[in-house]
Amino acid sequence: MKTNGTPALIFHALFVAFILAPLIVICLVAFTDKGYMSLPTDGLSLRWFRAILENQDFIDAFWVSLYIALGSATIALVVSVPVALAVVRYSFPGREGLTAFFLSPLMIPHVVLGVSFLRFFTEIGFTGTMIGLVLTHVIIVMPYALRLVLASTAGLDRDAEKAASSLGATGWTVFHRITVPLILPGVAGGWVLAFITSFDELTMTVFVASPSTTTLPVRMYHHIAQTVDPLIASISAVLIFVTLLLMIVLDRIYGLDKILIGKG
Amino acid sequence: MSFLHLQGLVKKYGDFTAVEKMDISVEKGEFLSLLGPSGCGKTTTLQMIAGFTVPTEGRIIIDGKDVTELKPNHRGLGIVFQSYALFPHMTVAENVIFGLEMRKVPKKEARQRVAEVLELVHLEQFSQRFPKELSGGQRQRVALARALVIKPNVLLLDEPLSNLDAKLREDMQIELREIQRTLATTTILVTHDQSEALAMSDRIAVMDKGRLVQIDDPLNAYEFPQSTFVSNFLGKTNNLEGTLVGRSDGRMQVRVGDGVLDVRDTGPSVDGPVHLSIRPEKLHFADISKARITARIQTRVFLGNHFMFHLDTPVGRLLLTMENSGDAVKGENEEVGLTWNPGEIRIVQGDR
Amino acid sequence: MAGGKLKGVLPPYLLSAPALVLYIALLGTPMIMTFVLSFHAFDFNKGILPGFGFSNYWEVLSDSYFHEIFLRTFGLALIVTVICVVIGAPEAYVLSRMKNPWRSIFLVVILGPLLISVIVRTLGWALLIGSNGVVSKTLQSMGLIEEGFQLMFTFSGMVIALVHVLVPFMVISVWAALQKLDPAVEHAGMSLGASQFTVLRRIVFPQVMPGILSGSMIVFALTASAFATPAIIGGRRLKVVATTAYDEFLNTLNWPLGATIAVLLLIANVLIIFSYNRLIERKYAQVFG
Ligand SMILES: Nc1ncnc2c1ncn2[C@@H]1O[C@H](COP(=O)(O)OP(=O)(O)OP(=O)(O)O)[C@@H](O)[C@H]1O
Ligand SMILES: [Mg+2]
Repeated sequence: MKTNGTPALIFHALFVAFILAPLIVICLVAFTDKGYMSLPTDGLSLRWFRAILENQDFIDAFWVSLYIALGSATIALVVSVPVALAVVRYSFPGREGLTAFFLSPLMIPHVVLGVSFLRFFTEIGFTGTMIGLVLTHVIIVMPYALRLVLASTAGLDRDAEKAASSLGATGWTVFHRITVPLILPGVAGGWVLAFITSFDELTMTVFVASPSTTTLPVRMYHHIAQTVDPLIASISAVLIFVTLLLMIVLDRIYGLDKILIGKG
Repeated sequence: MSFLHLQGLVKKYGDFTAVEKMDISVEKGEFLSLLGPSGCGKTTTLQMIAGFTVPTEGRIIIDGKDVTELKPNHRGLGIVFQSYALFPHMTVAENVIFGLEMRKVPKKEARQRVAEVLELVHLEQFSQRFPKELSGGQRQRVALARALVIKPNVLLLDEPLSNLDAKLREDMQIELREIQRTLATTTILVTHDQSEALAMSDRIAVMDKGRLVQIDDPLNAYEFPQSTFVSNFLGKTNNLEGTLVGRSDGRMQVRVGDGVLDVRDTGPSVDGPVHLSIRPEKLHFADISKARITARIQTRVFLGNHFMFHLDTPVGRLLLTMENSGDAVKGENEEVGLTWNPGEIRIVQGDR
Repeated sequence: MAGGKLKGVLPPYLLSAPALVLYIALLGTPMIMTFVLSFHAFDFNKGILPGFGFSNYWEVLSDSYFHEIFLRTFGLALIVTVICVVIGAPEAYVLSRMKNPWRSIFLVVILGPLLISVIVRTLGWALLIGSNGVVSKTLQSMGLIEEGFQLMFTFSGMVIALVHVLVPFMVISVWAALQKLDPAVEHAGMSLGASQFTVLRRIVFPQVMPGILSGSMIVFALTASAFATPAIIGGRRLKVVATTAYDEFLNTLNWPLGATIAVLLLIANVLIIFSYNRLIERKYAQVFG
C-alpha cells in the first residue's frame, strides 16, 4: 500500500497552513473589539458584524451582486444547454470551432474584457446599467457553465433515451422525462459555479460598474484601496462562511471535486 | 406469411458496408439469434429493426406493415440493451411503468401489469429500488420486464447477458427462454456467444463481415455447417483441405496430406480444393489394426467432464475430444488408431 | 454501442443560435471596438482623435516606463509559476497517496479557496504581511527583521499572495494527471528494482509532465493578467500590466493607450496559451493521446 513518509506529511502540513492562514486571520480579525486591525486578544466581539448591517453601501452592493449573479448564471445555463446538446449530439462543420469560440472568454484576461465592455457600453450609451452588467457577466461565466453541462451531456447514457423512445415516448417526452433529469446534476452544478464566479468577479466589473450598480467585490476593492479596517474583515468572514455553505450544497448535488476540476 | 421480414437490408457508412443484403423472415413466436464475431453488423441490424439506424436500402416489414420509415416510438418493439439502459433516476416500478404511461394505459391496469411482469422476472420485492441498488442480474431482469410489459410484437435483445458472470448467464439463458416460450413473443437475440445461441434459439442466423452466411436451426447449423467459417464459429472443429482424387457411388475420395479420406458425396460439383470439416467428438480411438488412420498423441488436456487431445496424423493435426467416462485414458506420445463414421465428414465451402 | 452522431447542419446551429447572438454582440463587437480604439491617437485636451496610426503601440514599445511594467509582470508570472510548480506538484502527489477520507477533505481544503473571492484572499495576505500583520510582528519579535519592515507593497509580497491565489490550479492539473496514472506502474517499477526516488523521477514525473505543463500555463496566464492582488498588495508604485490599463482608463482617461496595453496583454496571453498547447500536443500526443 502506498503511504506518505514523514517528510511528505510535514510538507503537506506546511502547505495546508499556507493555504488556510489568510482565511483564518480574516476570521479572527473580524471578531476584534478594537477599532483597528488586531487579533481578538481580549475576547471576541460581534461589533464589526453589527457594523455591516449599518453600512447601507455594502448592503446595496450585496444585493446588486446577488441579482447579477442570479441573472447571469441563469441566462448562461439556459443558452448553454442547447449548445451542449448541439455539440455532443451532432457532427457538423464548424463544431470544434464553435466549441472553442464559446470557451474562448477563458483565454481573455478580465482586464481586457473590462476595457472592451466599457468602450462598447460608452459607444452605445448603455453605461452602468444592470442589464448591461448581467450580460457582461454571462460572457464571463458561460464557459464554466458550458464545460460542466458538456461533461454531463457527454456522459449521458444514450441507450436510456433510445429505450424510452422504443417504449413509445415522443422526442419531447424523452427530453423532459429522461434527458433533463439525467443532466440536471451537471446543469445545477454549472449554475452554482457560474453563480459563484459571477458573484466574485472584480476585475472586469470594476470597469463597467456605475455608483448605482456597484457590486460587492468592487465596493470592497474601493474600500480597501482607501482603508483596511475590521469592517472589511467581517464582511470577508461572512463571505468565507457563505462560500463554505455553498460548497457543502455543491458537494451534495454534484460532487465538489468535479466542480473544482471544472474550474481549473 | 411470416411475421417479420427483412428484405434486402443494407447499411453503409460512407464506403464501408456494415450490413449487406440481409434477407431474413421470422415466424410469429419464433426465437431467432443473430450470431457472429465482433463488428460483423449484428447491432447495426438490430438498430435498423428498432428504428434507431436508418437503412441505406431495403425494407422492414412487421406483421404485414412496412415500418421502414416509422419512428422508433411508433414501432411497438421491446428492446433490451447490452448496457440495460435503465433510467437511473427512476425506481424499478417507474422504469417498468414508463412504457405503459406512454401508451396512456389507465393507472390501475398499468399497476396491475407492472406487478405481473415483475413477478414473471422474480423482482416483486424490488419494485421500489433504484437501478444502482440492484445487482447485474437484477438490472438485467428489470430491463427485460420494462421491454415485456408493453406486450411488444417483437422483442429485441442486444447481448443482454454479456455483462453477467458465467454461472448467472446460464441461469438467465434458461429463464429467458422459458419466459419467451410462455409469452410466445417473437424474439431476436444478438450474441457473439455460440453456446448461448445454440441453447436458446429456434433458429440461428450466422453473420460474417456484414453478410448473412447461414440460417438454420441449431442442430442443423452445428451438424451441417455450410462453410469453414460457420463450422469454426459454432463449436470446435477440424478443418481439412484436400483435392478430389476419385468419385463414385455417392462417395468421394479426397487426398489430404499423406492420407486419402472417404467422404459421402453431398452433390455439388467440385473444382479446386475440397474443404472438409469433422467435429472433434466424432473422432474415436480404435485399435490400430481396425483404424482408418494412425496418429500420435501430442498433448492431452483434461477439462473436467472431457479430455481434449491434439493428434499428429498423416492428414495433419487433428483435435479429438473424449468423454471422461472414468476408464483408462491414453497418454501423451502414445501411438493410437483413429476411426470415425465417414458420414460425419462434411464438405463445406472455403472462406471467401 | 455504435455511438454515431446525428448529421445535419441546421439543427445544431439553431440550438447554438442564442449563445452565438450573445457572443457576437457582447464579445465580438466590444473586442473589435477595442482593437480599433488602440489605433486612435489621443490628446489630453481634445480626447480621442479620429486618425489611425501606430503611435500608441510605438509609445508602449519604446518607453522604458512601459518596458519596466511589462518586464515586472512577466517576471512576476515566471516566479509565481515556478513556485507553484515546486510546491503544487509535490502537494498533488502527496494528496494522491492519501487515503480517504483525508484525501477528499484536503482536496476540498486546498481547492475550495478557488471559490472564495480573490479580494477576500488578498485581504487575508494584506492582514498577514502588512506593517501590523501577524507575520511581520512575529518576525520582528524574533529579531529577524527591523521594526516597521513589511512585505506589503513589495514584489515578494505580491509573489506570496499570487502563489496562494493560483497554486490550487496547479494542484488541480497535476491531480488530474495523477488520476490517469495506472496505480500498478509504480509497483511495477519497484518490482523491477527501482528505488522510491527513481520511480518518482523516471516513472511518475514523466507521466504527470503534461499536467504540470498545463497547470503552469494556467498559472502563468492568470498571473500575467492578475489585477486585484497586484493592485492591493503592490499598490500604486508596483504597477503591472493590468493595473496600468486600469489607470489609463479610469485615472488618466487615455483610453486609446489603455486599449493598446489591453490588446498587447491579450496577444501575449493568447501566444503563451497557444505555444504551451503546441508544446504539450507535440511532446505528449503520441504517448498520451
Ligand atoms: N455510426 C457508425 N459509423 C461508422 N461505422 C459504424 C457505425 N456504427 C457501426 N459501424 C461499423 O459497422 C460495423 C458493424 O458494427 P456493429 O455494431 O453492428 O457490430 P456488432 O456485430 O454488433 O459487433 P459487437 O459484437 O462488437 O457488438 C463495425 O465495423 C462498426 O465499426
Ligand atoms: Mg454489438
